Amino acid sequence: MLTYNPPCMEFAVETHGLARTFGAKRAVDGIDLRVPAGSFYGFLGPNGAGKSTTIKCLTGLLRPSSGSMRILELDPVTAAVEIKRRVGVVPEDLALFDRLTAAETLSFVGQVHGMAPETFKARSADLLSLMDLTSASTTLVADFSHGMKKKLSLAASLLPAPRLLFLDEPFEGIDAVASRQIKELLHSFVARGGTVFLTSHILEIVERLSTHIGVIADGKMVAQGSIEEIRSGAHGHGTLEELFIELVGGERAAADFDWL
Amino acid sequence: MLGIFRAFVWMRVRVLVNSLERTGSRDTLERFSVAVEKLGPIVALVVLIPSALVLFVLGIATGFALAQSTSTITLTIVRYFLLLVLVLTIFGPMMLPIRDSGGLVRYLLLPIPRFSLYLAQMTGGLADPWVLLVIPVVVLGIPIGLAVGLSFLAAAIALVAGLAFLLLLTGITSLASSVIHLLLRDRRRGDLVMLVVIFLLPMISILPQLMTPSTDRAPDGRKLTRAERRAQPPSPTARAALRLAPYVPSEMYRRTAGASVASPAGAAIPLAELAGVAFLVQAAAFVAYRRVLDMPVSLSMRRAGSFGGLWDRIVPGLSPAASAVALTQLRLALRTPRGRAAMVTPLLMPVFFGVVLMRRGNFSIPGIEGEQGLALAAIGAFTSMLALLPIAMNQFAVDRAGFTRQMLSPISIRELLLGKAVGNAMIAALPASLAFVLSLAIYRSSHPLLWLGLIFAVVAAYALLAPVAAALSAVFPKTVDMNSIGNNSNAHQAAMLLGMLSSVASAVIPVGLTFVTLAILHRVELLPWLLLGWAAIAIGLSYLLFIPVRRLVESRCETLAQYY
Repeated sequence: MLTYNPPCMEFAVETHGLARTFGAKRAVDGIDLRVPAGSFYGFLGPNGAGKSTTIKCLTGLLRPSSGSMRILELDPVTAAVEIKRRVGVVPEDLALFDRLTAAETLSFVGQVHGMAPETFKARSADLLSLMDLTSASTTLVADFSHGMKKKLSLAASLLPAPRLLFLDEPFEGIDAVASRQIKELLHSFVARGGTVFLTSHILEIVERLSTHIGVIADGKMVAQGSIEEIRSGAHGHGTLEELFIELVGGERAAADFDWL
Repeated sequence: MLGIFRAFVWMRVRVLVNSLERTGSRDTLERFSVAVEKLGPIVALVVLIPSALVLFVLGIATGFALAQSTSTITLTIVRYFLLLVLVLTIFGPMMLPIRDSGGLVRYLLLPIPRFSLYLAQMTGGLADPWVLLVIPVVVLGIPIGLAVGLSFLAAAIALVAGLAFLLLLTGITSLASSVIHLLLRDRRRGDLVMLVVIFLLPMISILPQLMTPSTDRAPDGRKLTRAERRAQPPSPTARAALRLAPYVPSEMYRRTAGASVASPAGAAIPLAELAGVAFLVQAAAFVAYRRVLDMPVSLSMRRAGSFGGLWDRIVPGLSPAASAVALTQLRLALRTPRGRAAMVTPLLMPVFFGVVLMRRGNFSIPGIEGEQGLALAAIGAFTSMLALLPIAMNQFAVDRAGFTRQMLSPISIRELLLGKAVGNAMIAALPASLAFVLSLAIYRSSHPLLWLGLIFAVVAAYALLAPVAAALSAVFPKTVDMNSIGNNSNAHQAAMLLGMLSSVASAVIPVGLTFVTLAILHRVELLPWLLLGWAAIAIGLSYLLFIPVRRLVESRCETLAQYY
């Protein structure tokens, strides 16, 4: 029987030399992640840097080519199902069944987590209300807009009350009202000891929510730590956007197309 | 205008080449799977070239024979070929995937007039192989053959008739595509239309049998001789077909080509009819296409019933996770046209055979004479298994992004496989049970235990098929659209072929046991017990087979999660 003891846990996610290659391309190139338990960890990087591949490795959707990982102090190789019980994920593709309704999707998640029907029904009602999906609860997911799908995927990840959340671009395509409510919800989740691992291109959101940040570029970690630590390391005192551009080397001359 | 056409042609060629070149495959097994998938279109392309050459020669021979006023046997072949093409042109778009409305939206954003868009779409119809094959016969072959036979005016008439026929075919393709798009744009209506089509297509082959009185027997029940059958007057269906024949476009073409040498003026009437029909079809197709462009995407939303909390229940004997997988698989079948087809079409086969049995009345199984009901129930059960193949042989990829949800959930591979096997069994069990109950209700049986034996036989066959289906689904996944009932919703062709062979193989031992017990031993009472024993062995074998299949699926999960 596997034991789980959150109060003693130092890192919710810990990797050593995590790498994943696709043919000759090293999408993730030996990264060492340290995500403190109870932190709000913003995982940043330019397009194609390896953020989604890293999340897929951490959530068991991809096998790492090399390196080791520990998720909530458990080994994903030997305790994959146990980890999945404690982790919620909003993946890149949202992972929803087209032909289930919103309520059925949450029911599916509740059932596979072995939750009692009355529990998952009550939680589903709360989450659908929060996401403003109550009126669409009996509509097939195939007919949802992208934003509605994203909200439903987020609700599905929250339903089993996980201890760790992996969120791949959770705010993209979500309206301002729902976005604000979700941010508050995630704040209170972290305040209660949960850990959030989030990727987003909206740096203002990351700056406002995150306690810790990791920056990846070309598959390699270029910075990791609390925002203050990174600022001091990068000699920057500006916004997160300026810091980010400095770290990933994205300074380019402003485009000036005289034909435009 | 030419620039637009050049861009469209380039785009189509590029899409084709990219689909052959860039597989994005991750491992050797996937490369093999993708290569097998591409083999079909390549073989079809290779076969198309000699077919076109043969048809070209046939066209020349027909034209020359017409010019010489000699044998018109080749014209008869051309006549039936054109009729076949016409049927394929009408039904082809129903079987093909729904056109990408996203592409239409992109085209609308480009500075292209709507009429040019229509012309591009209409000429795209020439890419359908059956339409393509018409060109060497009616546009090239017959006019060249007539010209070689020195009937130049007839050659010109045949060329115009051929072009009109081609215009008609592209118009029908365009009209059918647009009408289907308009019907399916509203998803709720689309589901209904697809269900009607599922019923309609097989019924087309059954209806004449149902409507036409038997020509095999005299009123006194005596079987008619061949000469007596020939002497009978044509049936009402045959008479109706004869009355309609002159208005069929392929017949209009035949009449035009046939009359072009002897009486060019006489050819003018069928030619004008053909051209008129082609023009009307093109006009209707343009109007329908404009309607599609007005609103290319669906705005409707479908709701699903909760069935009194049925979906929240746990299937007895399964863990909650495996049960959730099984019920999700069943819902996929209930909510997609292809899934519904898997549940509805097996019922049509016993109906068809039932009608044949009633009309012929001389069918019997050796050793159990008079058990026609049992035979029908067996046919229903076997066709239910065959109809399940498109889902069972692609059981992971049919979930599309939902498969990733399962991979992210705390479900073991064992639970996933068990859930899938039970879910597929439920899909097949619904039509099989209905065929069973109806056959039992209609036909009296003097051997009730044999019906029990049939259940054991079906359980044994499915128990052996289930691990094979899971293995083939893992090795040959294919991204599918279950809203289509054509090739786009079929499983990988290698999986389908091997699955069909496995279905037959899984039935060999029950059939063999039945034959030995009834025809050789003449011990009817033994059969249910033998089949029960075999079912127990098959379940044991299935359990053993699932062990390596579990490892296989485990190793393939990463790849399977990419099929959406």
